[in-house]
Amino acid sequence: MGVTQNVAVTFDNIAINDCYELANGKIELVVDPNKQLLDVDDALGIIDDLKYKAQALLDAKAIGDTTQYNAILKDIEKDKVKLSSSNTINDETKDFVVNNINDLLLCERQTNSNTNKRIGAINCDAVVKNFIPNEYLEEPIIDESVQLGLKEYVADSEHWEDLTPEKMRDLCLDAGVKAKVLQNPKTAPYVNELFPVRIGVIFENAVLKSLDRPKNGASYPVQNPNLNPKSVIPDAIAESGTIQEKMVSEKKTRVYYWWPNGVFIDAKFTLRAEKMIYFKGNNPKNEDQIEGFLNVLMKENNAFYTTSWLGTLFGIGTPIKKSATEANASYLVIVTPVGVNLEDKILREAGSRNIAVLQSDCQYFKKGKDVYLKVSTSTLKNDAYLRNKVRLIGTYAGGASLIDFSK
Amino acid sequence: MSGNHILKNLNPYGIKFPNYIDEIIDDLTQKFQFNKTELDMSTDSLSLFDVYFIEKKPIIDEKYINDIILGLVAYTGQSYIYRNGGHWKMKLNDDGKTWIPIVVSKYGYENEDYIAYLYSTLIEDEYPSIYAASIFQEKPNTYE
Repeated sequence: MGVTQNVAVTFDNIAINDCYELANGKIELVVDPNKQLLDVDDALGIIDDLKYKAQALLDAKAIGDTTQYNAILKDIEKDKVKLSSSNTINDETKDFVVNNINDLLLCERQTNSNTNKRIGAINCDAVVKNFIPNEYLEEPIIDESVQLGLKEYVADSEHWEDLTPEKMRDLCLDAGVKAKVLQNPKTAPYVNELFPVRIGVIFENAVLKSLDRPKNGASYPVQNPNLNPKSVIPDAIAESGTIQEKMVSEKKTRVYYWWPNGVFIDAKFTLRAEKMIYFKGNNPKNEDQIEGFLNVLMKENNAFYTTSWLGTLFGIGTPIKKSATEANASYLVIVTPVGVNLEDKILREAGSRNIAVLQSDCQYFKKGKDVYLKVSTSTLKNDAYLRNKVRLIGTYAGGASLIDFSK
Repeated sequence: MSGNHILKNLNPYGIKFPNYIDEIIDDLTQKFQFNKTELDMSTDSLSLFDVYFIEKKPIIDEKYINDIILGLVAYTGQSYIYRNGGHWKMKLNDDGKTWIPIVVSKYGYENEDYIAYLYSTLIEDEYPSIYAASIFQEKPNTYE
């Protein structure tokens, strides 16, 4: 962490969900009611914001917007007062930040009064740079991508077998899914149309349960007007994230970025003989779905950042516009039965957009009449095509989910 | 890019949706030209929609789906409650505007996914299956 804080908190019966969010219980900051304190979020926010305010200050100065410039300067002074009275930040960090603010304010005032920019031992440019987001200044020392919000269940000791498309169909047959279609005189004539659809839904439902992901209820508009459909609805959404470690004032600082919509997950089932998921035309009604996924992922730039590990844990961060694909944080995860391949064009097209494609397949085991499915650990499929290969890929895997054949 | 909830601008009843269930289902019955007695809340009645899509071959585009999705949400949810118990609960989406009808099972499990399953089968499947997409759970997932 770039900003160290000594904060007293109590944890009351907390539980963390698979998105690393607080699902249950509460965390309380222990405060002395006689002191005026900033809470952790406020303190973090002020420090993170200061860097951007300093940049905005320079921008305002560059374009000669004195109103904006003076407003920001005033704002920074207010932040200084708040931070000075804060007990949630340790003295060392507080001194560092407050001293930098003092230097900044001093430099700016002197600069505005047309005196020499160099004041005593203080190099004004260097002072300002302390506040500027480091991504604008230098290459990061490390630049890793991690998958935030992933979950891998502890594998159990049952004997799991490969779930092929044919096996999935046979399990559905055994469970009476086809028989139900045939028993209803109105649906019986259309068994060839309805049975495959029902298998597909049963498969998808079991996959999402295994990944412990809710079915996504949001549609994402596709930017390319030539594609059909005009919006896409991935089966599930997950967060992606990156960590950048940079030198800031000779201190290593970790900056965490995450994108709430950085990962699209889609379950694909096919009974086609060629066992292939195609870039186009998997379904005539939904011809460009995969290209639509890539199109939307490529435009994803709603990120959050924080320098606090706690921030990532509880989804606390500052919104920022930052391209997920440029930061190596776009992922398309396709879950299929065993033996189903992804057409090379999917991998190539995604790679050219710097979107990683991961594929997971599935396994099953039977326990009496019950059949369980689990999503196997995902593998990166388009490493050869990715524009930028510097990334650490998280893996996707699921727990055992009881397949619901009631459809 | 943030997505839009699939019921955005499609639930004019807002938080009062449960009060209008009968009216919404009547409207759906007319759109599909079913007899009222056919939609008897049974699981088999859900298949009537599947057969309709195969036989009538309507052009199922976004406009068509937007016209029928609220009715299907009302019917599938209400028929589940009729057969299994439970009740409706309205949830305000993150956008602060869209009220989402949640089906709460008799054990308290809140079903929301069925709406997306309904929408997905309509927009993705060559032969949409309302029967298959009517996915409701009574209890949370458990893992072995």
